[in-house]
Amino acid sequence: MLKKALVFLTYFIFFILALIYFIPKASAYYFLESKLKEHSIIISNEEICDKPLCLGVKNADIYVDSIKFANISEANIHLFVLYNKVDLTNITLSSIAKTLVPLNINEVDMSYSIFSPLNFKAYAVGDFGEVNASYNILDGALHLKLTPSKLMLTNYTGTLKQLKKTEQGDYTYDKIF
Amino acid sequence: MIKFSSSRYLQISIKVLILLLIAKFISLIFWLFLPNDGVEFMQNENYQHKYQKVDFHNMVENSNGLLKKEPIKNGSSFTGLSITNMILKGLYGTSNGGYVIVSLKLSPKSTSIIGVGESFSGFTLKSIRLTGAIFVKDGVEYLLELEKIKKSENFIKGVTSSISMGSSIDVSRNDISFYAKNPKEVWKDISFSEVRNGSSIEGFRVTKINNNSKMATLGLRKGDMIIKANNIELKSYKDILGIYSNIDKLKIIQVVVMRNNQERELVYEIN
Repeated sequence: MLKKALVFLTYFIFFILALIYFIPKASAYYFLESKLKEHSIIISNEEICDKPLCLGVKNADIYVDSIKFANISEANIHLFVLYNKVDLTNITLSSIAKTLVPLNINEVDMSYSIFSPLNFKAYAVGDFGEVNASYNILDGALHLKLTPSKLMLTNYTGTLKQLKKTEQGDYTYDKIF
Repeated sequence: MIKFSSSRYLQISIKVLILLLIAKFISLIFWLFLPNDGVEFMQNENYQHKYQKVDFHNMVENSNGLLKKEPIKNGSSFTGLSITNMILKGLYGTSNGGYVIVSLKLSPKSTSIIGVGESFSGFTLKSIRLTGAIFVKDGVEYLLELEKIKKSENFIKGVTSSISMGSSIDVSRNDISFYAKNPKEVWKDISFSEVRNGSSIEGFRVTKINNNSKMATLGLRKGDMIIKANNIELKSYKDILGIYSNIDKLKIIQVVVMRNNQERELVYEIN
C-alpha cells in the first residue's frame, strides 16, 4: 500500500514538474499583467526569461496610477501548485516616496502554500529594516510587523507614527480590506 | 529472456509518456487562451501649454507713441495692402473692447497693438471674437483669424481672456530648489487634501498653511482649492508630479484656485 502511494506521489510530482515545464509561463505572466492593469498597476520595460521551472523578470518598472512607483532589478516567480513563491531583489522605490521610507529594498519574498490556503506571507528586508507581513484571504486582513533599522528610527519618525509600537520595540500595522 | 513489451521499464515509459502528453495538452490549452503580449506603460505625451505672461498694459503704454487713433470712416486711405497680408498674433478682450496684436507678413516680427476702433493699414478693428478679429474697410467686414501657434519662441502664444493681468509674485529659484530637495519642509508649512467628486479628483484643497513661512507669502489661503497649474487641470497626482518634476525648468508658474466659489489666478515668476 505504501509502495503504491509512493509510486503515485512520484508520478504526481513528475506530472506537476512536466506541467510547469510545458506551461507558457510568459503568457501566464502577461495574463497577470492584464489583471494588474485593471487595478492601475502596470509592469513595464521588463525583460522576461522563461526558465524551465520558473519565470525570471529583470529590470521591471512598476507604475501605479501612471506614476512610477519602483524599479525591480530582478524577480523570480516559482509556481509549484502546492507551494508558490515570488522573490524580488534590489528594489528601488521612486523618489516620490523618499519622505516616507528609505528607497532601497534588498529583498522581498512572497509565498503561498496550499497547506495554508487562506494566507499569503511576505518577508522584506531593506534600508528600512525587516518586515514580516501576512494577508488572510477570508477576512481580508493585512498584518504587518516592522523591525525598524536605525535609519528608519532616526529619519522616518513620521512614518513610524502611523504604525503601532509593540512592547518589543517593533511596529505593527493592521488593516481590513 | 523477458520480452521487452512486457518489461516493467516499458510500462513505466508508457505511463511517463502519457503524463508528458497530458501535461503538454494542458499547456497547449493555456497557450490558446492566455495573452501573447504583455502590458507596457505608454507615456501620454501630455503637452504642457507654454505659459507666457503678456503685459498688455505695458505694451499699450509703450506703443502709444507709435499708434494714432484714426477716425472710422468709409473709404479710408488705401495703402495697397489686403487683409491676407496681415497676421493676427494675439487677442485680448470681448466683442466690445480690447486689443489685438497684428503684424504684416512682410515683417512678422514687427507687431502693433490695435484697440477696438483703431486702424491698421487702412483696416479698422470693429470687434474681437474668440479666435479672430473683425476688421472693416470701405464698409466691408473682414475676419482675420488668430495665427496658428507655432513652436517658435519668437511668437507670443495665444492668450485667453481668462488670464488676469494682475501683478505676479516673485519667487526665488533658491527657495524652489530648497523645497524641491527637501519635500519634508514643504509639509511643515503647508498641507493639502484631495477634493473628490465621486471617483474623480476635482482639485487639491489647502488644509493648513503656516503664516510665518515662505509658503504664506505665495498668496495661498487655507480653504483654497487648487484646480489648475500652468493650464493643466489637476485631476490626479500624476498631474501634480508632472509639474513638480519639471519645476526646476519653469520660469513662470500659474496657479488657478477656487476661493469663495470664484476662480482666482496666482502667477509666480521664478527668478
